[in-house]
Amino acid sequence: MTTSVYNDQFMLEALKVAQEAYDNLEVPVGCVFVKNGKIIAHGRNKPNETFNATRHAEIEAIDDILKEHTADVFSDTDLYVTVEPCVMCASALRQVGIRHVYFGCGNDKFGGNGSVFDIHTDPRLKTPVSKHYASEGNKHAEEAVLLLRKFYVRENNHGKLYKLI
Amino acid sequence: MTSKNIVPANEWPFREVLSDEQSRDLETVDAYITNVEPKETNNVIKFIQRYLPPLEGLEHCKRIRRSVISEKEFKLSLILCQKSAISLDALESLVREHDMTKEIKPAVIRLSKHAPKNRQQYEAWKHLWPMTFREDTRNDPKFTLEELEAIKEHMKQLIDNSCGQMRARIVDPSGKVMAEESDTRAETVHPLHHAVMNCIDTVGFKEREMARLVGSNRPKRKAHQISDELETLEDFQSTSEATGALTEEPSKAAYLCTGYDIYITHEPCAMCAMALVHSRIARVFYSVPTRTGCLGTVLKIHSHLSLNHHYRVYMGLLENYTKDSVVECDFDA
Repeated sequence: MTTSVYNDQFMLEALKVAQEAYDNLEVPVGCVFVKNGKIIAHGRNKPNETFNATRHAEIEAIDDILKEHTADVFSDTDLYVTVEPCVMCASALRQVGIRHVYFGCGNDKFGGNGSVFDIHTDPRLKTPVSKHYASEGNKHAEEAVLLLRKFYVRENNHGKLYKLI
Repeated sequence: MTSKNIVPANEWPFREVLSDEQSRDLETVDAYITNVEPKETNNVIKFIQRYLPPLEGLEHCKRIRRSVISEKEFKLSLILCQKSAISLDALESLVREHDMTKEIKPAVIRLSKHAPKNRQQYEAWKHLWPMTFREDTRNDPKFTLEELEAIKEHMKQLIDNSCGQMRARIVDPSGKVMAEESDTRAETVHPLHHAVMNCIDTVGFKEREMARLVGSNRPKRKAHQISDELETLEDFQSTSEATGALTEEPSKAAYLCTGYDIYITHEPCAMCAMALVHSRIARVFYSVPTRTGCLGTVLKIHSHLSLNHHYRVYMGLLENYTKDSVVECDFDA
């Protein structure tokens, strides 16, 4: 198995997908899964569109990948995601067997890769299919945060408009 | 609901999985106290406020203890300060310096380090020193006999339907089954198709269908409405009155699984436990714990303070019945 090397171009691509979530009135989080230097899936947040709070960027992309591949594809696949995976996604990434996770900004409220829990490394969570994985943050964190701030400002303004009408 | 129907907690057919703060045993810190003559109380308190280090993190302890000796006699004691804040030598020299040796005779006592979170802790810890305790009624869930019977029946049906697999059922507040799904990881060759995730998908799918047929706006619904709405979709399409009824009282409208309960044969993994936080589930009832479970065994995700939603968790429901009929698993539930 080859080792993972960070490539800035993929994080910029993830930010583009996050912008797409923003344009679709979703919390702006985006990701790409990369295997052998090629993007095999894009994913963005879709909870509002799907009426399902679990449809985070990572879950969307994992579902797409598993339509064409078996789960062993993840053993040499890396994730680039604009925001630290939440506890749910952090656990999902263990269970599919991801190789390496690169994320933008941390997530103090839900983060499962070190901010709230260490789901990615906790040895108690090991099973025959769920293994720990490497995770690195602070990749284009400012852009990721800026997009989130923009989103919440817009949401609040919508709230005000709604009241005015 | 009459109070006589309320079943005491020790007779519940399950146990609540409490947060570490709620379930911890007594931890103590040492503090200096002194007995004090009633008429000297004000002087001693002034001395404490002016010259002694403030009590930090012990706001739950009352400053004064009044011990009744007989019908007419009582004794007053005062907390001076934490032992870790100042040495006894330094304290005694301060007392001498301000001419209080007659009024203050320091002794060391143990105080509860933490404020009691529930009545059980309060009753167990209050003998050390009087504490303030405001009982939070939300920390004291109540079940009637009828409710417990309904809860047991849901779990029994779920286990009977499970055919030895892991399975989950989401129920609305009226007791209507909103979704019931098994773990399908093997069938779909998808490592994330756990029973809980499949159930949440089903609820989301039903809501999405509703929205598609009713219009582009997300239907605002009360927690108990969704299944009835689905059965009468055709009516909603044809009558504008009904569509109006959907959006009435938006303040009471529910969101995702708000107000719903979920029954699970096994303690869920981190992914499923967090998916239930995102979905705003109200209560979780599970039967058997799992090695990597995150609602009590490895973590207590439902009670973690930083999360924006918290739900109650009850475990051990029909545990023996489940153990007889469900395979034990070495992987995430």
